[in-house]
Amino acid sequence: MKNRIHYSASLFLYFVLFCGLSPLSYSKIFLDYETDPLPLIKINFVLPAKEAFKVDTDNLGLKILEECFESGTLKFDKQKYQDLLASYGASLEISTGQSYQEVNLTFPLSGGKIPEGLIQLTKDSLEQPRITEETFERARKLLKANFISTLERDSSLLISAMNRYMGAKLFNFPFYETTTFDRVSISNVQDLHKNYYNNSNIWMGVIAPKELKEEIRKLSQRLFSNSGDIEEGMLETELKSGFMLPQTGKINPTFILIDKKDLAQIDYGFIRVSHQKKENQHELTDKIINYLLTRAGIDSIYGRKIRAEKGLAYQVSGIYTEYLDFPVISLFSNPQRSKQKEAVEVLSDLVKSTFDKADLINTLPDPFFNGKMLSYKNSERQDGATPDGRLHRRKDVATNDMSFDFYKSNIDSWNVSKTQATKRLTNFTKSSSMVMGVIGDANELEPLIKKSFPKYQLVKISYKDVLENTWLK
Amino acid sequence: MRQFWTLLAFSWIVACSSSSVSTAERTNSSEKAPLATVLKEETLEPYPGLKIDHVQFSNGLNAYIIPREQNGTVGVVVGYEVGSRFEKVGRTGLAHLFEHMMFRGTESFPEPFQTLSEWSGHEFNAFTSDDQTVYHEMVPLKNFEDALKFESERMRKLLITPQGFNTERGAVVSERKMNYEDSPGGRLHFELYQTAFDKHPYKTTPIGWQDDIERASFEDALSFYHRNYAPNRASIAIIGDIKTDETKNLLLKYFGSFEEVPFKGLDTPKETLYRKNRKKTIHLKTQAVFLGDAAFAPTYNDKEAFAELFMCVLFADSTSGYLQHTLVEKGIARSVSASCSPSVDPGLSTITIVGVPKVSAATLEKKYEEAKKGFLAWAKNDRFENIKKYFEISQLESMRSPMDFATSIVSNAVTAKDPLYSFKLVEEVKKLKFEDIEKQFKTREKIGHTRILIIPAEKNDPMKKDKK
Repeated sequence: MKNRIHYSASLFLYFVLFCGLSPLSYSKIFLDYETDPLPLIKINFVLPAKEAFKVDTDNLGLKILEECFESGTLKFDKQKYQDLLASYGASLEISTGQSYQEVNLTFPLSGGKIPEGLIQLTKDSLEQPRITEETFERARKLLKANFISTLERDSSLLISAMNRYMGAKLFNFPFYETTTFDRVSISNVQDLHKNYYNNSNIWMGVIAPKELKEEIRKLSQRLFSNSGDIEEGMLETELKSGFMLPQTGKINPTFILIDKKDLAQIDYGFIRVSHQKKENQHELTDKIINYLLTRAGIDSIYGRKIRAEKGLAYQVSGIYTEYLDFPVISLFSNPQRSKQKEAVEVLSDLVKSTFDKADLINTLPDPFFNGKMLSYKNSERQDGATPDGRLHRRKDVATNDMSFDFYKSNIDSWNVSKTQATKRLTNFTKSSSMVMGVIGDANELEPLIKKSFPKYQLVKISYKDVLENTWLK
Repeated sequence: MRQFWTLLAFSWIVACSSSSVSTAERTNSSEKAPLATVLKEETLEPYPGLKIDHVQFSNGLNAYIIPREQNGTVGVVVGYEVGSRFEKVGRTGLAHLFEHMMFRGTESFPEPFQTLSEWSGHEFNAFTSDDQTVYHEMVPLKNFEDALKFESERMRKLLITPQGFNTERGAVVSERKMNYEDSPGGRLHFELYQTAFDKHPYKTTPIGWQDDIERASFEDALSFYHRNYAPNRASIAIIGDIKTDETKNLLLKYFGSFEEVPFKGLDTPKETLYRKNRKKTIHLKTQAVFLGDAAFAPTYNDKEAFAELFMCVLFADSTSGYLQHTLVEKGIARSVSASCSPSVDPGLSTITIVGVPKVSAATLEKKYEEAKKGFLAWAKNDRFENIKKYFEISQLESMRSPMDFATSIVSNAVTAKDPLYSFKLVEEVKKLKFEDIEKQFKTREKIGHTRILIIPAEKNDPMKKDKK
């Protein structure tokens, strides 16, 4: 209780410590702080997995490593490990992003100190995760089952198929597939852990009362022993991810048709990927374009057209603003099967006005465009309204998902005109590749697609071939 | 666009003339002098320093005002005591369909997505459950008053047109197909409720039957609105850069002129809780077996609700529950999860298990039954006390975001009639003894269970239109 009272003194007082950054030395841990009215401490570590994403077995290996972390330590099996974590009221979760792996440790504030036992347990977990033949095999089996089951949902199946097609044809990017599960070995996982779980390049985001700053500093030294420098404050440049894709290739407009019968609705969508890597100067404009088209939800341009005006579908969404560092524009929706003819026509109109004529944004009424700009700014303000949200933005800088220039820019100064957005959309269209996709009954859909998208190469795949990943062979 | 507006205005007039909407009620605008007064004011403090100012108005509206620094933004959450529990056979899906209608416009904001977005970049959303419908929006501080005005007009002065009603019907049918007909997990959930309940409206879940959605008339929707959207059926939470006194005055200005709509409560039919177990098998185009096991659950008023919820955490939490160790770790199941929150009337506590592909339904069932026998021995002693601590931080973590926190306050006020029910839950779980879990687990075994098995097949077994 004493701590809770003590804690309340800093209640609602959010602060960020910006200390001067000194030149980086061989080992770098970056500490970033926030406070929160809830009596919880949250520590987020991000470790760039560098080159691991270039090989499919390493790509899968990182997921297996994640499972091995959650299986305990070499000293404690999963049950004992979870019992110990729970005895501190703590949770330790690992997840893998596009070019990094992150660890989230959450525990209650008690006694003004971080319990020694919890520090030791976290240290054991990071240094000696349970990578054994048994946990490796179990993880491989479980992940394979998950991989197959993810495709239960048609929207996931469609996105997966389109991703794989683009990965293979545009980037030579090694998405892991069913055969990767047979080729990955325990040594892949051991090497990944050895290479990336060290003190060479780590970002730590902490939500804790400021009084615990020294404790957190000691914790970071304990967890990553022999660490040289600990930098406090905002990291201005990204961690050395090293994940750089080569210049993309180019593909002709393609329409993937997955033949699956008996569906009550059809899932369709497109992903259009730029051939040029993202540039800081276009960062805001790219975000605004995606927000206008889909990310504003049912009030986006596509949302209004498909759902609010036509009542064709419930879901209207875009899934990325960038695809492996390349700007992207995308749309996914799920019209009812009984309305599939109208749906394909609407999709065709949207594609034409977005890319072929590229006049979709330019013809928007000014109040709508300006309202969406405001709305986007508000959503960014809201993201910055919580400790979690603020730390998340700073992690995005550390992982190169947001430029530091964009991070530090004043939201009030953000402004993109319709002309700028249209120019960007026109240039984007000139240098990008388009993949479209639909999942439904091929007998019904093929004639509709050929009529509305005559210039697209049609790739027809059976449902079974998509599930078994044999269609790209 | 202008043409569309004209058309909309015209269709509203048509709507007024062809429906039972009272013009007097429509002109009873928020600018009228407030009739309501403040009945009660108090400050709630679930954790030291975490203050919530509660104001109760004489027209029945309850407001929860939470001033906190929030980067120049304010969150507004309005919850109504109306959900699928308020629907009748043949009129299912109406509460949820009406949630969609609430975004179609009000007197001052005829196209809210357009007007509010254009003025101030409003962001809003909503959800409907068995017992409640909740609307939330996040706005910049300078537009906070617009948000209150909009919510007040949605409460009593919604603009609804037959055209808008038909468009939203299409979106709802699509939502149903996506989440229930083409999704094995959604289908399992729907079938559990369909099979477990005989007569209570929980039977159909908020999504309703497609036939009912398609048959619902515009007049049905209007009548539903006027009966259920009223200050005495609502709670509102406001969180952000605001001051309590100013907010209270604004609430009086915008909601004070509304009178309460008499509501005698519902006379819902009672289910027989102790009855024979039921089982249904469905064949779908899936890769794995889905097993759903449900039993009738305690209500908010039952003290057993805390033991039931925590028992589910121990038994089937998706991260550290007992079934995770006995089924997922052993390569039998891909995932396990539990949903055991209380409801207003006895609802369902459900355990969902998704098998690893190629594990048969018979094996999954057998392993599940075997696993249950070892649960109490596993959950004893230190583990029981430790998982309580884990439960506390997971509950607090779930309220970290301001909107989640405000939604929790409103949702609990509307359903449990206690805005701090989530905090009470944490405190009551701390007090539980292992014997409480043991007793609840044994009681649960005696109550009528419902089991649904979804088995992989070449052809889909479409949803039957059985609405008994």
